[in-house]
Amino acid sequence: MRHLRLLFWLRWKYMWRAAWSRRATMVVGWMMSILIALVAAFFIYVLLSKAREDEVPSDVFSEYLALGFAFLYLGWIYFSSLSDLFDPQKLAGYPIPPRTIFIGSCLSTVMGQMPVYAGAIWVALALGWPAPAWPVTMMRALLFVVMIAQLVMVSRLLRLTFLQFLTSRRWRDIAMIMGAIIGTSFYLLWNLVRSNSAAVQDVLQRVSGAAERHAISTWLCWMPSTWFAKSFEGDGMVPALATIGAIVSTVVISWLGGKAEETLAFSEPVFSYTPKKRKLEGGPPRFLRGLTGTIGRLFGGEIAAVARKEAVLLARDPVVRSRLIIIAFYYVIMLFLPAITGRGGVKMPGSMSGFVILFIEMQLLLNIFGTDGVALKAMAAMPVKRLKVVLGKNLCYGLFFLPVNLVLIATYNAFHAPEELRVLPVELAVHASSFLALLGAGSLFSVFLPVRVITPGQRIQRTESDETWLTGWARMGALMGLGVLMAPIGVLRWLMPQLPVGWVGHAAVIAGALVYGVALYAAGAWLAGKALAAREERLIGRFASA
Amino acid sequence: MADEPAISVDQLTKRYKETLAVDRISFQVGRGEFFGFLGQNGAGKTTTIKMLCGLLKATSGQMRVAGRDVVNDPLAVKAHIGILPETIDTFDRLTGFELLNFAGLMYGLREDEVRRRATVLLDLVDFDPMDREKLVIDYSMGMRKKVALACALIHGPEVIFLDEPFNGIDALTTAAIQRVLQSLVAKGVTIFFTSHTLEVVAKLCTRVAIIDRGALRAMGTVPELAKLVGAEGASLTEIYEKTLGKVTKTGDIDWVKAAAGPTSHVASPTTVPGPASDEPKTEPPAL
Repeated sequence: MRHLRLLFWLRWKYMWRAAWSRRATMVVGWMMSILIALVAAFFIYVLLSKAREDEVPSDVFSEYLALGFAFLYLGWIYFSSLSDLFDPQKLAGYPIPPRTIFIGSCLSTVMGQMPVYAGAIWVALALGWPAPAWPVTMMRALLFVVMIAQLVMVSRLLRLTFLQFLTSRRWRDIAMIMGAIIGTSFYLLWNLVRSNSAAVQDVLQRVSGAAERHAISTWLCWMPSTWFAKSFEGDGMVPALATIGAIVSTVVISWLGGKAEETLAFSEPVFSYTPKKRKLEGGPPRFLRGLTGTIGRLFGGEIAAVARKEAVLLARDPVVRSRLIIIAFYYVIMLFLPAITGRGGVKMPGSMSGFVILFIEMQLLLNIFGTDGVALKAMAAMPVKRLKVVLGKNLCYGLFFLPVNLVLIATYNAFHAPEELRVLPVELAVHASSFLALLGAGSLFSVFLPVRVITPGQRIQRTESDETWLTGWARMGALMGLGVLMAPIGVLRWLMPQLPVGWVGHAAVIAGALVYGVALYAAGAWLAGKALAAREERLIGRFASA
Repeated sequence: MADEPAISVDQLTKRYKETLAVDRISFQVGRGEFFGFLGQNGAGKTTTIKMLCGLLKATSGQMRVAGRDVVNDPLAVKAHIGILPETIDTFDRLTGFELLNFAGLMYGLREDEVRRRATVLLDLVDFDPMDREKLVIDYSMGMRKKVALACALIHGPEVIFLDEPFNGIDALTTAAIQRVLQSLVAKGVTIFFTSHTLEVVAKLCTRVAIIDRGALRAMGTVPELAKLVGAEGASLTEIYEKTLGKVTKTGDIDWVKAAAGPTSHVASPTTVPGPASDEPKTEPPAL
């Protein structure tokens, strides 16, 4: 308990320091956060207090939980934060059990979210909370927090497991990954596996039926704590099975989490990249040399050198590799496969698939100067125009991601809306245009709002909380601006199926979209190159002090 | 337990896939010793320290530190040792005083005792009241080292592990830390110490071990090691070179010479004018 108390104190101190930072920009970040917290609090209040009276359809409650789930699991990708305030490395020297680090980290994260839940009560009081609803609603709110705590634990366990996977590839770690994925296995089984076994079908049907009867999201029905929280909605009685399930699952999760923390704390960060003999003799692979040779002939040697360095790092940098694995995990398994198999997941329209891909890739595209600022320092010492650095990096990302994205979108559309395949070229052109615009915006973000993720060895630590916080909001606002800029292309794409245009019309739209995207990219990259020259010193300083 | 060596290592091995980072090393360090652990970059020094501190699992071998088994009871070992790592990665949004308090409480000390010790330690490492209330993130490298050393001492450790403690810090801070360490050894604390500055090692350490590519090459007092390599009276630097059998490479970077052109000389000033001098000021020569 002593250690847990200290970890809570530490979290409190960090929150307090972030709140009272002297920087004026922090005030904006705080105000936005309070606003969001109040809105979230209001929704929690409405859903918790009204759902029982059927004033809000029960599926809205499920959808809200699903949204919370998605935020907890995906939000950290956007914010580039692993919430690793209690990085095992910082605490490893103290006599503190790894499981305490795990539990302390999770619970203190929930503590950080408490203003939202506490806010719900204040909103309720302000609205004249009916007295009879007090005990039940309070109990629901408490159980909701318990459920969130368990979700946070699973979320952290998954992250740690990814990191373990990157740190060590031993069988034990693979077993650990399997352990963590057990949390999502019900979901995956439910939505993806088509077993002919009658017994499996029967179990799935029973779980499904129960979830539907109790208006529980299929996203969350694999979490015992969901049933636990739900069980209080009726007459306040606690079904024994749900309670036992919640307790057992919490113990299992915390045990696995402790093991994961321990493995990370005891693992020397070693780069798993081992140069092969032929590489030692011959440098980068032949295809890369060929590709960068072509880039060199087209754009110049410096741009080719930057692009080649970036391509090599894409393959070797543990931060990038972890991002790619996470993208693959979340996108392919949680979103893409369910959507194309038509079972579970997010049923997004075909035209949305490209934007979802961009959202998930955004973190890499918006941080072109890497994650620790080392590259920026190295580049600063070289006599090369900053615009060329930006172009070289963008070229690499473009050549790496864009083809993959286009293949994914084509596959998705082929499964999701085969009747609309005639507009697929337009779909791809719209994506390419959006990708280019985001790449240009990403260059600007990298200069004006960089997010730093440091990586001692294979481990990833979060950047400072206040920076992530403010940068996150600022990026969100700027991305909305980008959305407005891209609106003409979006509207055109939306109108395409309705317009009686032939192939000439399609070609014109494709060309227009591409030209528009290239123009936005060129403007972004040019401005970024100019701004980088002026802000380089400040950027390096920020990376160094964060 | 009191008769037991402070550190006892037997056949300690650490392997990363094909790389043998530490290769079956065995040694003992007595209580109250100032033990130097030398080796080139990548020789296995930090890996050994991390294993001894319970921060890294050994592939095989036995380790006992402060009378406790590191493999079976790492938390008990951590409670009785202090660690000053090479790179200070700590909670830098706390003030120095808060960080020390946090460290003391993590080691299970009472709150009033932690405050007393924190005050004494910060005074010892020469922090004025302003420094104590600054955030660690605003500290210089030397101040970070000093506050980290204070954290490593707050619980009264029996053994202290120092990994390159003087790396990147100024001469005054180095001298201050050296004095603190020597006073600790005088009180019977064991210090396990790595450094690339051989003069400091020769000055402070009672015994020295040299590790190369994971294997222990030599161990003893400086005169013993000199005798071992057949160069009695030699400096630690000479012993080190002979033990490792390294020859410093020389080569001609011809393109630099060609680009720089012929050498020119600039006269150096014999005196540097002071700020309060009434003498007419002379500009220092351009470099």
